[in-house]
Amino acid sequence: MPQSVVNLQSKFSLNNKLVNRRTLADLNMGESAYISVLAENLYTCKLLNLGLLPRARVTMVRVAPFGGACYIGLDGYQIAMRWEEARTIFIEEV
Amino acid sequence: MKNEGQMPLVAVMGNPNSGKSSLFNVLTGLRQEVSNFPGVTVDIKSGTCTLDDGTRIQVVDFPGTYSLYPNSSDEKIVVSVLLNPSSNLFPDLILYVADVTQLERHMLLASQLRDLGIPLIFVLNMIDLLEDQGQSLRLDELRKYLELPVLKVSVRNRLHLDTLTGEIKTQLQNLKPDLTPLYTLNDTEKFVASRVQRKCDIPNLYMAKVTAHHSTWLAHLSPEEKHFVEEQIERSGFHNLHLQVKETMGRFDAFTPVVKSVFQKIRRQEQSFTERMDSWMTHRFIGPVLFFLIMLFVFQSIFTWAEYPMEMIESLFAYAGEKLFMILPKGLFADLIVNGLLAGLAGVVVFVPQIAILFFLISLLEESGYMSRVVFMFDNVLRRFGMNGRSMVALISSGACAIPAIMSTRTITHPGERLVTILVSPLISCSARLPVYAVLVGFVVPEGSWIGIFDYRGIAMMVLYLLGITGALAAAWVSSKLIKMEGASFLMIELPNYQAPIWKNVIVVVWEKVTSFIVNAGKIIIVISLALWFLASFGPANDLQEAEHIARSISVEKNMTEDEISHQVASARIEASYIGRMGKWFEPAIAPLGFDWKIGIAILTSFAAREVFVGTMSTIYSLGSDSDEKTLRQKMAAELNPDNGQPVYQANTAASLLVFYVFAMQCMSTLAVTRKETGSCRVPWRADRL
Repeated sequence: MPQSVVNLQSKFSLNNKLVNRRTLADLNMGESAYISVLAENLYTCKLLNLGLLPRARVTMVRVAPFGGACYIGLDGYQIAMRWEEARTIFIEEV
Repeated sequence: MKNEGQMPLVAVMGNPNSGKSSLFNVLTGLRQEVSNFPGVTVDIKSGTCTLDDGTRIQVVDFPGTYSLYPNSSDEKIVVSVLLNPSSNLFPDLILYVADVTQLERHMLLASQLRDLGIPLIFVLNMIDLLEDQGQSLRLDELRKYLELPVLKVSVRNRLHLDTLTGEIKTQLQNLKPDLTPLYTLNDTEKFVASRVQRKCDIPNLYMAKVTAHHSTWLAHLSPEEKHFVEEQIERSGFHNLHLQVKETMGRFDAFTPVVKSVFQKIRRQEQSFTERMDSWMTHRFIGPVLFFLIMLFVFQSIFTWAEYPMEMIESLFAYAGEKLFMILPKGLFADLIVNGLLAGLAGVVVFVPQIAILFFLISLLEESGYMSRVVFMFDNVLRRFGMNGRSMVALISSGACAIPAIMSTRTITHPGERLVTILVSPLISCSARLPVYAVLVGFVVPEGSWIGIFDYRGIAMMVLYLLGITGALAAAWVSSKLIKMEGASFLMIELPNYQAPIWKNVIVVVWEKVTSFIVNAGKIIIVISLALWFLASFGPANDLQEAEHIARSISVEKNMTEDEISHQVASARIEASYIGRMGKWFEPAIAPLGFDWKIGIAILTSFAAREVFVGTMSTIYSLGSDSDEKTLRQKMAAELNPDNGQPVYQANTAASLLVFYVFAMQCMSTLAVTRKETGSCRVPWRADRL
C-alpha cells in the first residue's frame, strides 16, 4: 500500500519531491481532483475525520467573502477550510 | 461504578449533524434538564425515558464528536468520560447515531467506541432519504462487520423508532459483548497499552491505548500515573500524533469496502439545493449583505412581534394588582404583595416574549445549517481581531444572552482565540438590555418611521447594537495583543446540507432557555424587588414620618391638588428611606454624568441582571404593578432637577446612560460563567491552561 500520510520533514517526502506537487489550494475555481497524500501535522486527524481521505474527490467551489478560506465540495457534503490547511493536502489531477 | 437500583445510563453519541440531538429530544421530550455533573466541568443535557415494560432509563446527550482523538474541549469532555469507567456519566449503553448518507465518515467513531468494549446500538438515521429513492440497504454486511445490532430509523419522520426502544431493552439485559477489536494494535502500541492497562487498572486494552494518547490532559489520572505513562511513551518511541493518524487510516481502510457494499451511490436532492443556495448565501458580495439583512430582520422582529404579547402581560399584571388591592386589607401587607412581589414577577415575565423570539430565530439559523456558513464567511475578518470564524456563533448568541454564548466557545480549539471570544462576547448587547434601551431610547429619539418600514427607534436600537459590536471588536484586538496566542488555530468546518428545521428541536431550545430565564433570572429579580420595596418603604427612626409631614405641610401651603400632594409625599418618603440615603451617598460619583441618586440605585441593582434597571426605576417612582415602559417614561420625563428646574432626563443624560449600558461591566451570571469557563477570576494571560 502506498504511504498516504507523510511527514514533510522526513527524507521520504524530500526524495519524492512532494513539496513541488500541486495541493488543494492550487485548484482553480470549479476544478476537481483526487486527494493523493496528506502532509502530517497537528490537524491531520481532523482532516481525516472530516472525510478528507486519500482517494477522495474534491472540488474547489468558491473563496470566502473576505478571503482567507475556501469552500470545498466533497461527495455528498461540503467543507470550509483556510488556505494554509488546504496547502497540506496534495492532489492528483482527474 | 454505579450503584445497584440506579437507572441505567444510555448515552446518545455521534458526529455533529448526525441527528443525535433530535433523537435525544424525541426520546426524552421536554422532560430534560441541564445538569452540572460532578467531576465534569460542563452542563450536559440529560432526561429520562420509560420503555414499554416500565423500565426507566436515564438518557444523556453528549456533544457531537468526530473521533476519540479530539480537538475541541467539547469533544475532550466526551473522551474523558469514555476513558473513565468510574465516572458517573460512564454509559451502560451507547446509542450511536450515524447519518446514512455520510456513513463512511460516521463509521470512524462507531468503530472506535465498539473497541472500547461498551455495549452499543448502531442507529442509521435519515433512512427515508434512501427509501424514497427505492434503494434497499444490505445491513447484513454491516452487522457482520461490526457484530453489533444495527437499526435503521428516521428521527425526522419518526420511522422505526419503536424498534429502537425494544432494542434498548434487549441490550440492557444482555451481558457485555466480548468482541475482537476491529483495529489491531502494533507492537509499540501493544507494549505501551498493556503496561498502562495494568498500572491504571483499565478494563480494556484499546481503552488503555487511547488513555496513553491523552494522558497529559485526562483529569482522572493521578500525577503518578501520568508520570508512568509518559515514561512508557518515551521508552518505547510511541509517536503520539503519528499513531493517531495511523489508527484512523487503518480503520478507514478496513470499513470503507463494507460501507460501499451496503448501498449504491445516493442521489441527494438537498445537495443540489444546497449548492444553489450557497451560490447566493456565501457569495463574495451578496453573502455578507444577506447576512446583515437577516440580522436586521432578527432584531426588528424582536420589537414588532414581542410588542403585543408584552402589552398583554403588562395589562394582566396591572389587572391582578388592582384586584389584589381590592381583596387584601389595606396596609403594609397589600403594598408588599402588589408593589413588591407582583411588580417583581411582572418584571420577569414581561421579557419572556422577547427572549423566546430571539432564541427561536437563532435556533432556526443553527438548525437550518446557516450558522456554519457564517463561520466560513467571517473567519478571516475575526482572525484579524484574534478570534476564529467559530467566534461568530458566540457573538450572535450574545445578542440573546452572554451565558450560552460563552458556553458555545467550547468548539474553538485555540485557547487564545477562545479566551478572547469569552472576554468580548458580553460586550454585545444582550436581550436583557433591551428593556433598558427601550425606556431610554424614547428620551433621545422621536417616534416615527422612515418610509413607513424602519422605525426610528428600531434604527436607534440597531445603532446601539453596532456600538456594542464595535466595542467588542476593539476589545478583542487589544486583548489579542496582550494574551499569549500560541497553539494550532484552524477553521476546517463541515457545511451541512441545508435542511428544514426539525420543529421539536427548535421548541426544545426555546422552552429550555425561557424556563431557565424564568427560574434563574426570576429568582434574582424577585429577591431584589422585594429588597428594594423594603428599603424604599422604611427608613431610619422616624425620618419617613417627618419627611411626609414636612412635604404635606409645604404642599398644603402651596395650595396643591390632592394628586400633586400624594406625589410630593411619595417622593419625599423615598428620599428619606434607606434606599434614598444609599443613593444620596453614591450620588457624587455619578453626578458629573448628569445622573441623580435614583439612577445610581438602579445602576447598582442592575448588577444582578441588566433588566432590573427598569424594575428598580418603577419601584422608585412608586409605579407599582402598572409599570409598563410608557408610564415609566412619562414619570421619568416629568422628573425635574431640584437645583435648576430642568428635566433630569434630557437627551444627553439618557444618551450617556445608554452608552453606559452598552459598555458597562455585565451581570453577575456572566461573571460567574466566565469564571467557570476560564477557571479563574483574573484574566488568564497565559491562555494555554484553558
